[in-house]
This record gives sequence, C-alpha cells and structure tokens, in this order.
Amino acid sequence: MSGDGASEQARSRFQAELEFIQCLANPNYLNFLAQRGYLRERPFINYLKYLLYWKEPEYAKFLKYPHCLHMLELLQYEHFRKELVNAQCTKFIDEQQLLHWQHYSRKRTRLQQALAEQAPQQQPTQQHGNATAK
Amino acid sequence: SYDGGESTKERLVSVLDDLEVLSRELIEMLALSRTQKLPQPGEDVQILEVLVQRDREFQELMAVAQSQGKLHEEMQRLEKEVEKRDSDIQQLQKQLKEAEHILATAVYQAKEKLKSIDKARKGSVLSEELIKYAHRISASNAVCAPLNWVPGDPRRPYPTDLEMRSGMLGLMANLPSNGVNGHLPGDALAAGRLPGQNTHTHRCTLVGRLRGDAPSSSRVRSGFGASGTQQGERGGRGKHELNLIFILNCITGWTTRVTKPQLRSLYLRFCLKNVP
Repeated sequence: MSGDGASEQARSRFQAELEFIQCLANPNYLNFLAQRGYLRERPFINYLKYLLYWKEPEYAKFLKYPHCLHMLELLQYEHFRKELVNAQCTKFIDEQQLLHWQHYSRKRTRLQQALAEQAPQQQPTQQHGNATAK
Repeated sequence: SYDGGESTKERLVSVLDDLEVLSRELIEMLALSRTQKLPQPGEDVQILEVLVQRDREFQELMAVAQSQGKLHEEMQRLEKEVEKRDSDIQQLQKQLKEAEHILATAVYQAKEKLKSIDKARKGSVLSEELIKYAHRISASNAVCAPLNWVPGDPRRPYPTDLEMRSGMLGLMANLPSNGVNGHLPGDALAAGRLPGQNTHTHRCTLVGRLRGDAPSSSRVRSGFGASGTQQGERGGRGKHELNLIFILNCITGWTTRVTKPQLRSLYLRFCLKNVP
C-alpha cells in the first residue's frame, strides 16, 4: 500500500515538475516570477538548479517545448534573473523567441520556393519532401 | 719515439751525419795521399769499413722507417673507420629518438580517440527515439512556427496562460478559468481559436501552489477577444480533457483519470484538428 502511495507521489511530482519547467519557456511568466520576487529567493534558485536534470535525454524526451531548457540555463545566471524584472526585457525576449520560432518555417518556405524554381521533373521529389519535412 | 728516446728520424739523421763526415775524411785522405805518404797505413781501410758499417745501419734504419710508415697508415685507416662507425651510431640514435617520438604521439592520439569513443557510446540515443521526438515537437509547432502563422495568431512556442492553468498545477490551485459559452474548451484550444490565450495575466499561482501558499486573487486582463471570455467553472469532463490535451503531448498514456478508449478518441480528435 505504501509502495503505491510512493509511486503515486512520484508520478504527480514528475508531472508537476514537467509542467513547471515548460512554463519557463514563457517569457511573460518569467517576468511575472521576477516581479513577484521569486527569482531572488535562495530556495527558488536552488530549485532551478535542481531542475537541470531535465537536460538529460531520458527526461528531455518528455518535453514538448524545448525552449524551456534554454531559458532554464539562462536562469542559472543572476544577471539574467535581475534583468527579467523589466517588462521591456521580457518583451524583447518574446519577440526574439517568436522570430526564431518562425525562422525554421521561413527556411522551409525558401527551400520550397527554390525547389519550385527547378525543372518540373523535380515535382515528385518535391511532394515527397513536403510530406516528410515535418 | 720509443726505447731510448731517440726517434727513427733522429737516428737516421745522425747516421747520415756520420756518413757525411766519414766520406769527407776519406776524400781528404785520398786527396792528401796523392801528394804525400799516409801517416797511418791502415787508416783509409778503417774509414772505409766504418763507412760501410754506417751505410748498413742506414739501410736498416730505412727499412724500419718504412715499416713504421706502413703502421702509421694502418692506424689512420682504422681511425677513419672508427669515425665512420661513430657517425653511424649517432644517426641511428637520431632515428630511434624520432621513432620514439612518433610512437608516443600515436599512442596518445589513440588513447584520446578511445576516450571519445567511450564518451560517444555513453551519450548514444536510439535513432528511432530521436525521430519520434523530432516528430513530436515539430508536429505540435513547438519549435517551428506553423506555415500560416501571422501576428495575432495565439499559438506560441511556449505554453500559453490557458494551457498553464489547465495543467495539473493550475488545477491544484482550483482557479476558475476562461471557458467559452459551454463549448468544450478542449476543441477550441486544439483549434487554436480560443480567445484570451495570450492574456498578460499576473495571476498564475503555479509556484505558489508548489510552495504551499494560498492561491492569490485573480486579476485578468485579456489582450484580445474579450468578447468571448466568460468566467465560470468548467465541468468535470472538460477539466479532464483540457488536462489530457496538455499532458498527452508530454507523457502519452501517463494519466489514469481517463479510460483508454476515451484517451484514444481524444487523441485522434486532437491530431485531426492539428493537421495543417
């Protein structure tokens, strides 16, 4: 019985930490945390350091939003944590994040355009490329 | 020079001097004997005898000198030979040193290579898993924007406020969420059409719950789509579905709150909605 309880606890802890770490990918949430002063507290900073275990492959494979890992790495630095209090800073981060997010799709459209400009014989290859590109 | 301290050269020179003196005396005596009688009758014979002896000595000494010369040549030849061998040994020494250096480098490089092989082996991931993961994060538009994305589209590369509130942590805080007129929030969320998804709200209490604090009061300020926003409790089923949709993408099949057939149908519905 106690074994079940422990595993249930472990599962919910896993879920909670998984959700929380992915929330760190949201710059607005980071701003919120900074303005509430959470990023200045020692226990919270230690918790961020503890969360670094999500970088290992056997845990990272559960992450849907990998941007959170980069944010977590940046959060280890005090300077970054201090800067997050500014709304301008997080707005900038948000913008850059979106631009980066769009970068791959732009690259893909450019690639598709390049393929489209080639000879029509490439047609079957192009369609095949579309299907497997993502 | 050896035995007696007189070198061959000195002896030769002294013998030659003797010969010179003797022959001069003889010649003088012969010249004198033309005009007057010899004071000592056997003297010229004596001188001749000594002369002959000296000549014999001279010949002997010459022979000795020759043999000495030969020995000297032999010595020089051997010295040359020794020099040659010495240079050979030095050459071999150099080559040996070079070879040792090259081998040491090779061994070091090989060790480094082995180290990197071990490291790579430790960090190896199944290619199939990589592909599965890549597919998962791409299909949900988490790392690459959808092709039809324009500014104003609520989809983001990070979990939006609504998703955060719908997760386990959000539910633990028991916060009222923004539903839309009785429609299943799950459908609208899946289609990316739910308004208020990107509200700049300062109400999130996920961390608060983690620390055991009481949930703070809410202050919702929606960025757009305020018309469709309604405050209200979600139904039990809606709660489950939203939760599921967030978690499904994280840990497939982890939840036990929904039965397997429900899970499958929801997953299918979600996938179909998200097909570009």
